[in-house]
Amino acid sequence: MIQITVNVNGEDFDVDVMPELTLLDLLRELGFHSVKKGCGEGDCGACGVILDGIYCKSCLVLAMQADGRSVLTVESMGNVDEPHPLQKAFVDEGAVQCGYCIPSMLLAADALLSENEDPTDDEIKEALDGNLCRCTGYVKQINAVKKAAKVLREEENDNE
Amino acid sequence: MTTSNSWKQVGTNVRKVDGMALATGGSLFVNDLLDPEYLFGAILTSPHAHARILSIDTSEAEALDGVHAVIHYGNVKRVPHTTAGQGYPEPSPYDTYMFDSKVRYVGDRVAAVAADSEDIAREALKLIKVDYEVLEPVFDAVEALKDGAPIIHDEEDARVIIPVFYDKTRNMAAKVETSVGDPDKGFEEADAVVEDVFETHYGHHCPIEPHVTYTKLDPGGRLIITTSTQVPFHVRRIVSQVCEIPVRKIRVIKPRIGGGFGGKQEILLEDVCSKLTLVTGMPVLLNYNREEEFVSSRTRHPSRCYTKLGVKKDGTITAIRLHVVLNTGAYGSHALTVGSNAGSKVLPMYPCENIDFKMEAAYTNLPVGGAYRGYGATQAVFGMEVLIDAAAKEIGMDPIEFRQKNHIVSGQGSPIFKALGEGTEGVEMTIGSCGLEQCIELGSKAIEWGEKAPPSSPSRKRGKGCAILMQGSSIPHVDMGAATLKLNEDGSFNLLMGATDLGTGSDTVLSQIAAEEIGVDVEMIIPLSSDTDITPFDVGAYASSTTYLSGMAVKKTAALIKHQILEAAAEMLGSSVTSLTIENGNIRGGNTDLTISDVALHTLYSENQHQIIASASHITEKSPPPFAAHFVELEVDEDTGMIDVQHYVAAVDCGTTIHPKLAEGQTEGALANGLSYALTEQYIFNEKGKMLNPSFGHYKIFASSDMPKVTTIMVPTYEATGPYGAKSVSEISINGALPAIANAIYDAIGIRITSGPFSPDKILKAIRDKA
Amino acid sequence: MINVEEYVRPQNLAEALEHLGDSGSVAIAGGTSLALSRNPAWTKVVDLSDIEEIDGITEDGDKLHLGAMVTMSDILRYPGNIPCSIVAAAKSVSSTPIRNMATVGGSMVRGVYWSDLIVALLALDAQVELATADETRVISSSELYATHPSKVLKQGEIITGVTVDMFKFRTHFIKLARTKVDYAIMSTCASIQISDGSIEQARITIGGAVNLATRLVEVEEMLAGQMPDGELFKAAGVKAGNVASFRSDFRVNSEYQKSVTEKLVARALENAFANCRCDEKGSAE
Repeated sequence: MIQITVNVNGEDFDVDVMPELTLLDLLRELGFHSVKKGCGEGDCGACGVILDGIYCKSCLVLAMQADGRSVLTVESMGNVDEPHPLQKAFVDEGAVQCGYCIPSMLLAADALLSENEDPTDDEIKEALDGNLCRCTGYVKQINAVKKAAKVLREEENDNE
Repeated sequence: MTTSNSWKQVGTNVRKVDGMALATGGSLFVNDLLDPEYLFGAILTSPHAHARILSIDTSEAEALDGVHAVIHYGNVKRVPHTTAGQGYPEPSPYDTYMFDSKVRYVGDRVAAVAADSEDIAREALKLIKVDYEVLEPVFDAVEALKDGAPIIHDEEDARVIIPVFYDKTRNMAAKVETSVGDPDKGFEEADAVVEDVFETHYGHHCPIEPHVTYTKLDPGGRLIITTSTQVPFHVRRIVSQVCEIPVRKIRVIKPRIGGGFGGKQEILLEDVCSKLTLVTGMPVLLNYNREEEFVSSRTRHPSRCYTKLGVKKDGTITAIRLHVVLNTGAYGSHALTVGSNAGSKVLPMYPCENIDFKMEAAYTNLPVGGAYRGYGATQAVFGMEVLIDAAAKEIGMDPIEFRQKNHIVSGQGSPIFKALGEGTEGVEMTIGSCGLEQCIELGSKAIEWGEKAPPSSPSRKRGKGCAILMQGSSIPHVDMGAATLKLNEDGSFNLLMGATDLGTGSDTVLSQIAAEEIGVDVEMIIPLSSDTDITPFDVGAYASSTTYLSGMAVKKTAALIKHQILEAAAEMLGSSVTSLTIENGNIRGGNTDLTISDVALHTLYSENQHQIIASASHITEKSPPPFAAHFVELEVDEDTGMIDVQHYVAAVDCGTTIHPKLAEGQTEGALANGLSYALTEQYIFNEKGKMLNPSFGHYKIFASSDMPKVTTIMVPTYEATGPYGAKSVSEISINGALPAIANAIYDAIGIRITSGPFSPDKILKAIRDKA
Repeated sequence: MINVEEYVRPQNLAEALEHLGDSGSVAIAGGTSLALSRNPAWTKVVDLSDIEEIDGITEDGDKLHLGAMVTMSDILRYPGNIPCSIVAAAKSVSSTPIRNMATVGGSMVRGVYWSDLIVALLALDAQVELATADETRVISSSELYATHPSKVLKQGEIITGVTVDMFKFRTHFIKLARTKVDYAIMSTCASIQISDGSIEQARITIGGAVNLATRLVEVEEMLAGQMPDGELFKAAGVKAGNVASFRSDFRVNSEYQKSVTEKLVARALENAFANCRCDEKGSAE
């Protein structure tokens, strides 16, 4: 067992982990159920999290690698009463069907918009290319990211 | 009939009822709903394609610390059943056992364990010693049907439970033949005859959530099954059958489901997981990992379709012949019905006096076929729509004009509807709504049919292709759906449905129907699907039935509860029911400011106290087809054989779109699946029948970056027998990519590709062979 | 990972190399492959992600240096000059979250058949910097991939960075795969140095269709000293198809591998000669 401290969505967790435990499994054990397992092999992307500012697949990260680092899951973005503009746009545009891939895809979209406030369709497609979705054909998600980007740009302008 | 203008809920993009809970990461799926302590289940599968188990020694596995149970054919009762989640009596053969002393494909069940952790469970599997007598396998469906082929189901107890053809001594899991008119004469009368053998390949549903089941006993000893399923009521029935416990002792809960597409219309884990809980008395979690999902769950039945068309110079189709050989793999799940649908969802498209249809489903020692979005239509429409193009070319007619001249229209019927049912005879049916003409018109405009831009580089050739499609909506006289509505104090309603939302949005669509019918906002509807203890029966989410069938059950229920509300209101007001109506939650008619909430409070607490509650059931009399026209523009790279799809157009008539964005989403999701199935999805087997690519790394489904430009066009029609004019939408658009792309490839390079997938090596070889 | 007892994340290279000198130590660079490994020999994990000395992209005259911990996404974000073949290769690696994690050093040391980056680096004569606790050395990428990095690297030795000439070659990288997020069926990179209108030297590499990215020296020799034109490139492609020893691949047969090698080596040469500019972000097929 290896003792680590990991910060998830602003809260510190001191845990003893087996060396082979993945960050995905740790997060789920800690109750962050938004982080999904679809393959455990780094292919489906349902387990995406933001690790120290970088969007990555948590099934490919060992829990011990997160020692002293901060992890963000979709729970950090918003909640049912106060959703993030991306969450709102995803729901309103019909981008959420079964929803299994969505929390991770929202984080991917958030990572994109933090670097690029007005992405093109192709840039969105590239940013979401690690998130397999079998329900939607991705069309509605691309619309949703564009819509949220617009909302966020307007919010920013209002704040200036 | 109410008109769309007056609808307040139907036809609007209300917020998907479960959308925000999903988007904020709520604990909604089976894996999120576990107790603190539970056992992990794991299944040992066969390394051989065909073998008899001579002996099995589980002593070491059982001795491993942390192992609670090991089950196998030696300690579990042998109950022949089908894993297909279909209505009872099932049309699929009873040829499956929880465990058997014979294994029939690489990935077949051998044993299962329950242990304290997943690692221990997997370790225990390695300690089970199995002595196999390896038997000769057969992998090709046509070979399997020949005399002298290895017999896959040589056990005595495999059988069918309805009067349909079944001959396990010849590996024939199902067979259907029907003929109309005089096909031979029809071909003789033709000016041109086109024919070919078309092959469709294995495919997997690839739900991002693999199959998962969690079972436990409640304090009273009832078995609680929380499972990722499309068919909770069939799960209850089949677990009852296989585990030999009464239905009343079982509760099946369907939480949110991470995609199904037909793959979860199957009882694959529930029986084993239940058994492990019954043996240990403890909660058990059993899931497939991605590899098991590919190999051991269900697939799209591969097919070989001998297809032939006769046409006259004027474009009249004189005869159609379709002979389908289906590979059902080791078990006959959905074999008969998928095979029948290959005819019934394809042949009626082109009314013709002479039709010959035959379907044989062969057992082989490969992974098992099952229900999969498209359900037979995907297989047969490929060859049919390619030959329609070929026939048009033979007589010098534009393929669009040829289709417009021949396709079925409103008011027409087809003898095929009556001839081909799903295990039983079909029903006679004439087409009600049909927007096909407009689909073709709008679609060809969107793709700029007839215009050809130059290719983007010298090694590339550009082409366009199309295909027209039909599906069905429910299985008439077989499927039944029911709903219950219960009024609460605040004027809200619990909508309890057996209908199973597996991610499609049906909870939202059905809530819209209830809200529209009653006259309230959709926010006042609290949908629950499905829990066999709480919700009424529904066959489940399959056969494109939820909106059309369950939607009508909800609509009827809503009408009943509305009447009860108005009766109570009339009593309160001293007026007559007929003078009252409901608008936006308020009772209208006469001078009243009464709300539904007032009526609820009155009836629950004051006078003539009773619960306002209603239930209704619905069965369908027909299965009205949705229609679609799909178009594709692509480039073929003649250096590499790569196909670059640049624009895909789907124009769809699903009747009324209850929720336009969800209907578009069904279309886009289905066509995306169709695209990667046509181009990149593929099961690759070695010579021993083992799948070599059971991962998303090597079984390639499209990611966002692979998607071409997509144009989705919903063509509104009104289907009088459906709720608010709706038909189905979920399946149809998976079928278009194979034929439309094949036709576009021909347009680009003059080569007809007759088997899927259109992989670059296949295309390049075809180019080389032609040169 | 099953027998690992210790996890360290050193803050400087010297400390890391010290740890890596211990038997049973394994380095984590990007970590895209390690988490899935169950190698029982490993007892200590040395995470290199905090070591700034081996991170970052720097330019020095006409030399470009990529630290071992530079990720594919770092390459794509870099605003300065990078040979377009490296950019194209980085861009064609898997998906965004993998590109965010996968590092130059990790990709190079793993040496998997589908590696895109190695194909580009080999074709630029990349020089590879290696270090152990006791010494540092520089070897050519050709030497590193003559067999497999695991046979070239000494006990406790890691790749710390790689250097390429930025302007010496005109270069072009092409990847052929079933989908955008897929392992290469075949990839190739052509680099040519033009002098007085003729090809002074060429580097032709292929990957995906062979066991490990490799230079096709016979093809390079055939091109050297010749006047560049379409016919020559076509002939070079044919030669590439003849000299490469293709791996057996369940996705495609060797006939296909040969055909596309012929065509795409020729195409890479054409495009390289058409003076692929460094601001072009490259393309995957």
